[in-house]
Amino acid sequence: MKISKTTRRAATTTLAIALVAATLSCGGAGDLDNPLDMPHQANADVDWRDQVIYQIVVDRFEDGDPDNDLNVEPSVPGRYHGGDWQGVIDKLDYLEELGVTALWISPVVKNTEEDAGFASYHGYWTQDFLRTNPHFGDLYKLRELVDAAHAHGMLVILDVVTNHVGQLFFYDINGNGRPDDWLSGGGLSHTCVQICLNPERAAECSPDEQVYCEKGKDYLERIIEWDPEYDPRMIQGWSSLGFSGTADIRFTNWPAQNRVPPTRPPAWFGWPDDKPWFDDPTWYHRRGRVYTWWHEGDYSRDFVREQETTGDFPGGLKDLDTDNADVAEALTRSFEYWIEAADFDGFRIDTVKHIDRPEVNRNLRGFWGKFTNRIRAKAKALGKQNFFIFGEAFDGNDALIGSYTFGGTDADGDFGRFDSVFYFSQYYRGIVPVFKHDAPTKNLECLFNSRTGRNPTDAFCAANGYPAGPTYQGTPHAASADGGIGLAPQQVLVNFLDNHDLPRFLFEDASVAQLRTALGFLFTWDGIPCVYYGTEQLFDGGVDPKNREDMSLGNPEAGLAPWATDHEQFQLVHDLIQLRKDHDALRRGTVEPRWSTEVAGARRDAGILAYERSSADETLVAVLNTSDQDSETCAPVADGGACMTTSFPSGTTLVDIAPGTDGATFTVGAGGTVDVTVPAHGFRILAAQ
Amino acid sequence: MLLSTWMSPLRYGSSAFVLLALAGSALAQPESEPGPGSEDVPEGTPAPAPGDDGPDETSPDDADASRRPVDEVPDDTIALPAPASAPVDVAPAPRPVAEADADAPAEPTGFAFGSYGRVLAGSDLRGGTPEKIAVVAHAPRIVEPSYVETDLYYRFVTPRGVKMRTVTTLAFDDTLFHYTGQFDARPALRNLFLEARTPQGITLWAGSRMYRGDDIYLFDWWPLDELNTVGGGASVARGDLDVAVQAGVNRLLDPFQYQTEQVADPEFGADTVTTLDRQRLIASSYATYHLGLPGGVDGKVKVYGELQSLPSGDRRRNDDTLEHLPQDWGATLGLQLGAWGFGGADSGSHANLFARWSKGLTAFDELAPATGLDGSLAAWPGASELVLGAAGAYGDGWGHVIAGAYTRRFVDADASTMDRDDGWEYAADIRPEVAVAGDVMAGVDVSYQARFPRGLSPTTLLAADPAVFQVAPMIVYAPMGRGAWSRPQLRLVWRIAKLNDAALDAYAIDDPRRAHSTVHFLGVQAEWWFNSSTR
Repeated sequence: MKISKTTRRAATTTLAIALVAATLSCGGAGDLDNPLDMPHQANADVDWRDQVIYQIVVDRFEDGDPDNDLNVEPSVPGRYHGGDWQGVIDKLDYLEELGVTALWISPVVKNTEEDAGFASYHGYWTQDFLRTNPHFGDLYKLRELVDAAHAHGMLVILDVVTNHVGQLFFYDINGNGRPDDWLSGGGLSHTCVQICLNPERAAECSPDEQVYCEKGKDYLERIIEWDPEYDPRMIQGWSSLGFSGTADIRFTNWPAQNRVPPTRPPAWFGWPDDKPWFDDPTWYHRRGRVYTWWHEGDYSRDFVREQETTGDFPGGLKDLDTDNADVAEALTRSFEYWIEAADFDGFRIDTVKHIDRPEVNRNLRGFWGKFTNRIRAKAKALGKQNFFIFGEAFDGNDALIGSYTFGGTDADGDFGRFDSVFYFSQYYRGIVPVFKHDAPTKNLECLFNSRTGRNPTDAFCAANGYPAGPTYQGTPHAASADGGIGLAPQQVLVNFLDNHDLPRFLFEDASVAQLRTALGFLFTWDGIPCVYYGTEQLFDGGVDPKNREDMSLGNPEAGLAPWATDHEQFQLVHDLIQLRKDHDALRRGTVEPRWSTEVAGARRDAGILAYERSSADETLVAVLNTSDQDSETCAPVADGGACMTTSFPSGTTLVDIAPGTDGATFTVGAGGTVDVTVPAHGFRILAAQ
Repeated sequence: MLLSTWMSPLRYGSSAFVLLALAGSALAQPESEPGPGSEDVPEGTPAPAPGDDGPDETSPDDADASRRPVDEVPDDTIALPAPASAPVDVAPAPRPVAEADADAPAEPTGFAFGSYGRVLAGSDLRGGTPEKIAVVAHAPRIVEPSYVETDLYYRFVTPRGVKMRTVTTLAFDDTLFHYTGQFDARPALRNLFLEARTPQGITLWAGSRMYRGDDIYLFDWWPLDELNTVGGGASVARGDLDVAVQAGVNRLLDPFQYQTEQVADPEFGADTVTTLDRQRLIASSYATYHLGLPGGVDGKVKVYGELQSLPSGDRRRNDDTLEHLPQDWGATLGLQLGAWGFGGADSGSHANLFARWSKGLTAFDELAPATGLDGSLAAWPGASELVLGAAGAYGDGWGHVIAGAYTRRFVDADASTMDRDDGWEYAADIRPEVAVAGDVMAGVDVSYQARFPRGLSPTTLLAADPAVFQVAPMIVYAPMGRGAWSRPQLRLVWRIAKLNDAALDAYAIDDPRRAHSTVHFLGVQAEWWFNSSTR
């Protein structure tokens, strides 16, 4: 067979062109944008009062990429189940259909893999502050999620933990270099044994320490080197011959469980080589585990708060010394990085009450004063406005959690703190007692009074321990253009019915009807409603980890297929969100309580809570009935029978516009009074016809 | 000696240039170049000779086509980001020892022994063990672990003239007692098959077999067709056309293919039963057309196809829940253009161009489970691989030069379009060896490899392209002649590898090797093949 020279040349040329073309078609890293160089969404038009937050435990949402299913055991509540950021991306259409406008995703950083058989699926056991948790994806996938959410009109909030790290080290109390799970000799600390219970030195102890040690003889039972109980003078070494000084801490080197010293940042991060990076004992308080929660009444508030702010978080989560300037700087820069790299729109910050004590002195800047100012400045530098920072202070003490919303002033000038907090005091004093246990609805009004400083002399509120207030700051920390949100904390508290740390609303002592009423409150009260994933699917799990159900499995007990939208509960949440979107008054309007009950039990107005929400354009009246009887917005005849007064003129016809309404109308009488009848566990949202 | 630009991986133009040059060399040989026909290729003929294409084309003396140990990549090599062949250390392609000759004496019978082997000894000049440097899936082999295959044959001819042979190949990795002090070894039974060749030119075989075509010697890699299965095949040669088919299976000891469980025995105690048993079916076929090129050059065009399937199954996870694994598929199409018979006598001159496109399971090595699966846990249709490769050698009285290059694009099936598993890579390697005195040659191996992952480095959190430049001067003693494929060879080699920052970042953060951007090897190497079952 002969091939001509021309043919050979043509073949050569064709092959060469094909090879070059094929090679050119293969993109590589050089085509990729550095995440730090990617653009950021400005959010100039965002008003956080307009948002509906949807809280997602990523591992429990949807498994979109089985490639990252490492150590997945979906039938075990305390292990990874396979959910990931791709899964969230895959379900953005579902979330958009539901109507939520902001996603709060569980922590994204790399965690220690497991401890005591439990896995870090929740994300709160930080091992590396800068790298992503490979169970969920890589940085590009995270950025893809944020960008995709933005494209769906949703903001994304990152869950941030700065108080502690995962179980990265143990206290080598007996000096054997090994993490002992049990040390004989009981759990009494050095402080107790050597000082407080020693008659010759007892005077060195504070009264609280004396109580701690005296009562501790009964309830401090153990010493575990991973998680020893609190010692005010730091965890001390101990052997059968006595105490031996501050215990050494030893970082574990267990790569298979990712329990290794925190990985240093890459060179471009610019962290000085001669400085430690979360691997220095002095970066930690080293006082052991907070223990007073189980016996809070035994101690002074000061002693409890001292433990809370310096003790390790239960589970051996080591408490960082955020007063250490290097620690504060490392944490701040780490989370500045996440805004820059992933374009988050806000932070939900974990365990804020375990850092600083602004309830004692607001003008002591502390970690939060520095951190929040820096984060806002970073957002501003990136061109992001309305960066929202809210904190989780897991406490029913309204004044305590509110104190974290107040800014202060020191020699360096004014500083801010949190734009908002997760409204735990409302949960403990309002949501649970009122909506689940028929407590007087006045409790919710009292919380509102305390928050704003309104009606400080109300007898019921004072008698029931509500502060006169205002318990939350009434002015913004920063303008929108300065990285703040331009709104006062009082306006944007994050309301919720349940979350990943609490049993589901439907768990025990609650019916779907009660949940319906509570949802009516959630979406018509001022602040930012936050829906825990699965609420729209009637999830009813108990405490952690049973309250972290697999969204992708649906709710078979309730007969709901995964991601089902064609059922009453989904439609209720959807409709309430839509109603809120449709009515500026429900999002941004003022609040005027119109009716609440101070006593529980059957009566004409049992369980009634009514309030007006007013904007420049309209006024709506929300009337809820938390009781299991049909009730009216009027006092019992025996008490005079007066009915609710509204701001509507006499003769106005009010029509119920609530989802699923019966279309009832009510006519306003003289003086704006109106008698609204609400079915048991129902609610009405009334607008002028 | 390094160019200042090397630190930034050479991209499009460079790889295309190498391939272009090789393409030109393959198709533009002088017409006057004489060369023997494939039927009477002397000893030392290079890999692409017709007999290289498959088992049906080989004589009982040197038949069989593939080799690949199932050992893993040594722990001290850089982890390869692409899964296609990472778990498998590919053995080199032993050169042919002898082709069947029309005038050859009667068919040998009885037992025979053969071997392919290589041994390496030396230092990294820091007092440590030498290591292969790889940032691509198929890196230059200038430094690679020791490996040996020992082949045992029994051959006979039936009364009806059917040539029979059994081939048993035992392979060992680099666990050498004299190095580790541990009286231990890691053997693997690779070939174990029976072959029958009829007088009509039909070859049938069945058993465990390494089955492969032509390689890129410098990468120790068969870019078009290389399969290791347990199965059978047939081939037939008619005139200028050879056709072969093969089908085999594997069932890797991987929880996605194989699981056992203990169950209660009906009477007492426990029984172990197989609960997941997914055999991967691997079938391939090729047709090779031989043609004469101007100047007495021999050529061939080879078309290759491959299909794989994996049945569905249910895998039990650690928490006792079942995970459904769907049926999966793979398909490959490939093309090879080859030429030989130019250059000096016994020089081993040849040129090959390869193109291979795979989708689904076939984008992965058949001895490694597919990774980066889609949401349904399937590689089909999301995963794909495109390989373009070139290999060649040219020699004459002055010595010879061997060259190889490839570029490869790989995309897995997962939902991420930007992750480190995906990307492209290329490598180019050239090794000229010049006669110095007698059977002694001086040579140098120069190579460059670069990878362009579509993802971030997990250490630097930046997009980066690892690259390695290597140069390795060497003295070669080849007592059987100077040809490119003359073996055995004894070599004295000094390899200098230069890694860019991204390549160093491919190591774990706590890996001490991150500190060394220059990595040496100074030592000796031996390589041999005789009567190897690879041929």
